[in-house]
This record gives sequence, structure tokens and C-alpha cells, in this order.
Amino acid sequence: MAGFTRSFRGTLIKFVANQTPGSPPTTIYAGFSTANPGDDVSAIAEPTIGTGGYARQLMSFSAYSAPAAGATTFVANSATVTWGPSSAAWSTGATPLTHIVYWTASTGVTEATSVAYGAISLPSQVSAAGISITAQPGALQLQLAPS
Amino acid sequence: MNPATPEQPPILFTENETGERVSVTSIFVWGDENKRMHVARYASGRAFLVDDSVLNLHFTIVSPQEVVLMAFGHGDRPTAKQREAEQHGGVHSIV
Repeated sequence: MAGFTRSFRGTLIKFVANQTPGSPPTTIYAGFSTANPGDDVSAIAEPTIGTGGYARQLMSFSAYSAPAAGATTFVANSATVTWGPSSAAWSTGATPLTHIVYWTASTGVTEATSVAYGAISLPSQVSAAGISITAQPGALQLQLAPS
Repeated sequence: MNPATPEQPPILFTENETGERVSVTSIFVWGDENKRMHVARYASGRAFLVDDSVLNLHFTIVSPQEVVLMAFGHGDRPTAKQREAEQHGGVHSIV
């Protein structure tokens, strides 16, 4: 399962209903998890921020462009996002980084700051020391499909 | 029609026993979003499909190295419900 978190879906629904959704997030950070964080991010297993060179990375997005009718709407990162290089392993043993998670804050794991998450297919050793992980422009997309 | 699952761009590993350089690509296993398999390709053209345990046992990632995340949308992988809807001609939304 992937997509927008319960908290952020609530924000979107409140926007539609004009029920004080709050201000749009001014910052979006991308981080990792070694477990599926779940809809309310209660199962988040993030590498320790500030340890081994790990930190959530600030993202910038390309300008929204309306797609063809019936096509998925999306925004994508407009600049390369780089995590690391790691100075020590970001997870223990053979535990892979399984998910990327988007937050409105650079630290903390409260549901209110969660935005979206999705699975990634990295081998477990990518979390070893000496590794940088990069996402080229356009590689990270947040999508809404038509129904 | 389900979207294709893109492969992770190759990551360089070394086989522990022989020291041979191996290019590894990873891909999700259909039906289990947390399961990944890896294709280990040698320069000679030999290729093996391995799971995490074999990859960890016999290969070591080359370090330092820049690993490139594959391009994908965080909603383009169909869930079981989405697949079921598609089988019945429905369309789905990720939210």
C-alpha cells in the first residue's frame, strides 16, 4: 500500500469542504523507513536522524501542469535529491530501506507531519556505509489518479 | 492494465569468493510489496536471480557508490483491491 497518509488525506478533504484545512506545507522532506510506515505512520522505522550521515532531504517540486483528461495528476521533484553519503550503516543487519516517506518537517514522526509514502526496491546493503542515494529530477512523483 | 514495475537501476557489488564485479538490479515481487528479488549480472553475461539472503551472503556492495532511486510514482503500484477493480473493468484512485 502506498499513497497519501490518513492525515494528509484529511487535509485534502477539508480543503474541498472548506473546513479549515490549514496552510499548505512550506517544506516537504523525504526520508526512508525500513518498514511499511502504514496509513497513520505508526509503524515507521526510520534510520536515526543525525546518525551515520542520515537526514531527511528537502524537496522542491516542478510546477504543476494539468494532464490530459482522464490521466493521472502529479508533481515531481524538480532537483536532484541526495541522501548521504552514509558514514555508517543506516539500518542494522540485513534490514533494507523499504519505503520512502514524505514529511512536512525535517524531524519527528508525528502523523500530523506525514504526507505520503511509497515502497522502494533497494537491496539491503544499500544502507551500508559509504553509499549515497540519489533521486534524479522527476524520479519522485506524488500522484492522484482519476476515478 | 497494470502499470509495469520499473527496475531499480544497477548497483555494483563484488562477489565475495571470486572478487568479480557484479551488476545488481532489483525488482518488486508481484503480490508482496515488501518482497524484492535481485538479478546479479556478471561481466561474462551470466545472470542469477537471488533473494536478499543470498545477496547478503555472497556479495558485498561496492563502497563508496552513488545509488540511483528508480523513477516511479508513489501510487503506481496496484494494490490487491486495485487489481480486483481492474479485473472487473473498474478504475482506481490511490487515495
